[in-house]
Amino acid sequence: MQEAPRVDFNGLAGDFFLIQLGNLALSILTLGIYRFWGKAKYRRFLWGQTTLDGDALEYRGTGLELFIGAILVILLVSIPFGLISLLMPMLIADKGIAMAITQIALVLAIYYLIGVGQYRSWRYLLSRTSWRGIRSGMVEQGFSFGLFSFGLTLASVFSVGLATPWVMAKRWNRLVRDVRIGSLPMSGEADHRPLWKPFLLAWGVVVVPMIAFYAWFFFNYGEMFTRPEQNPSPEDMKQLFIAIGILYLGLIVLGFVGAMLFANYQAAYLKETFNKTRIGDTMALRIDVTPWQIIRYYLGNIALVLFTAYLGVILMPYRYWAFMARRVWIDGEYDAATLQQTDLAGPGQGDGLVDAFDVSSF
Amino acid sequence: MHSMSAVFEARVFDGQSAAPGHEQVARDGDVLRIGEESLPIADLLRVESKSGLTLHRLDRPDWRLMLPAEAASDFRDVTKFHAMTARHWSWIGGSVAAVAAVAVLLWFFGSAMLAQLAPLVPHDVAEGVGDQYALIFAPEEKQCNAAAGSAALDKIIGRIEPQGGLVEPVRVTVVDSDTVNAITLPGGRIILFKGLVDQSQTAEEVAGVLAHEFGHVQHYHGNQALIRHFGLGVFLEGLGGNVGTAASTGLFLSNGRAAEREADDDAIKLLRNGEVSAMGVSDFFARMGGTKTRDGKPGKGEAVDDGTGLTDLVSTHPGDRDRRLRFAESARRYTAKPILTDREWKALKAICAS
Repeated sequence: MQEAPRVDFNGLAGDFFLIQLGNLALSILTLGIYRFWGKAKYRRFLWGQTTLDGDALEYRGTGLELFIGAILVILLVSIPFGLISLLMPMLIADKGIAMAITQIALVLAIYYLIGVGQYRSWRYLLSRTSWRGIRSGMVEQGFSFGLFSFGLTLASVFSVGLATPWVMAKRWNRLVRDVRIGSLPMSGEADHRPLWKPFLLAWGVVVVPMIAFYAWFFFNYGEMFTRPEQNPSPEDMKQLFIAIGILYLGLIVLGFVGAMLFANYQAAYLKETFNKTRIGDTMALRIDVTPWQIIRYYLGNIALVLFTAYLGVILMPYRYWAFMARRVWIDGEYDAATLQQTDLAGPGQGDGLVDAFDVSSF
Repeated sequence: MHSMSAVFEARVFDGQSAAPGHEQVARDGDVLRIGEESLPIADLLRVESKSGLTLHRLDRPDWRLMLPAEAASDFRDVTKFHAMTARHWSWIGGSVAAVAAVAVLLWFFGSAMLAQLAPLVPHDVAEGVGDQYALIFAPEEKQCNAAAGSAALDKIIGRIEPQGGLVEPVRVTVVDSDTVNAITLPGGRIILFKGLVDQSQTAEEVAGVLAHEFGHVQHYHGNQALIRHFGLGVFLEGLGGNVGTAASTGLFLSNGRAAEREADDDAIKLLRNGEVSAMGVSDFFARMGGTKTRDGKPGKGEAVDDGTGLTDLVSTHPGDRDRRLRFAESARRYTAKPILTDREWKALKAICAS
């Protein structure tokens, strides 16, 4: 037995920026088609700069795979969706009902596909990641997770977001359960209970005053909107502008406080999920993160975009990866001889479905 | 002639376990000696990093040999893992050439291709889409159907509709709205906003506007927008992210001006055949331009394509008196007969009063 491998990340933002500048130039020249190869290239850099016990991770995906993934999404999702919205009104006589049914069906299908896409993104990334020649993977295709996640999404929608901590913990545990690091299974036992306090704090401080704010506004000034034919006097208009000013100011303050409290919740979520995740029988993940670090991360992102006329956005994958890789640890010990090759085969194409819904962070 | 390299301490991962095997490794010309074993250099790939050199085997994708960084110089001739080969470059070059070729084709022949394709969209499909849009602009409860007004509208349509009808059956819907506009949707659906009737001083003005919309129907402009949106849009947006979107909406698709001219040409013919004065549209454009432009220039009524494929009849771009003058010019060449009686005209103006 030896100590669990130590995670290090040594990538320089400058190197990443140069890679992305080249990617950007080639993407523009090729009407965007190069971006798949560009993505493979920067992933190779991020993985390669991340070491476990001094040996770098390897990203083994290719641009062609991502390109084929995107083509598959067009063929299997975009075109059928387009056809459905085109053909449904022909099959149902009442146009209003046809439109409503089409909209609902498409929204439900998208909820389902987001889950499938998330699973397949993990599956793809893990299967294309290896360390010392040992690959990882996910045991399923993602369709049953899609259903599971669909149920969770509905719970979230119908609870006006109140079920979020429970939903997020469930989703994490279900995903992690299917991960294989080589031959070693992962398991997640994240508990939703510790998440409630930070979540309700954020929800209560943001949502309740927001409703109160809007109620106050419409109680006092709503009449001016519902009966516009009664021309309001200049005095009324002045009052209205002051009220709108107060409303916006209130929302900005709320948004700021809310972001702080949300970072607080996010830190609690990351800690609860990572720290309750085990690899095999002898290792566990750990993340050292504080709410303040998350706030600084977001403020950094905003500044990077604002002060670079948007160009800084090409650094986002680096920032996300570096933020996580520098804070994640593996505790415990392991026997290298028991970390065997996985018997899972990787999927044949890239994470196009996630690309289409844009839920992948790097 | 053998040139043995120095001997390096290396770790071998067999692709089965994360436990390393420790071996003495040296390069011997075209072969790599690992302990007792020899591997042809041609079967290897290399990845260099700050911490060292990693060798891959072509025949065993999970196998790894990790050497110290000072070994790197002895293996510089080994193919890089993920290196761009001539095959890769020909693929990328081919794709770029294909994209460029498609772009050039669309640029030069895009509108001709659209014009050919548009009539092929089945009427039912086009009408289905038109109906969906129609619901947005003219919800059921805002449609105007007063009997006398509808009869007057039908009379106008009867005068300007050619013998044997248009290429698609048309349906004109009047919607109770202050907007001064008319739009043609796919499937021969025309939405006439009541504001346009309110702003018109004669039935000839309304007739001229409808004749223009009939022109859009005759050229299947609605279907053209449909093909652009669903065909090209879906594909380019899926592939190229933002770049594709920009390309599909911006570059080769803005032939709105040409479409308006085509519609005007037809409108002029339809009005002449129906013996309806074309002076009405000219007056209408002049008045709309006159009331809306700030620089005081008279005459306009330039149509714009807002990218959704719904063409606006009236907008407030300065200039382009040409259009107005063409209608006026045509009006002088034939004698027109009045289109509605005073009574019918009043009824049309009251079409939204139930």
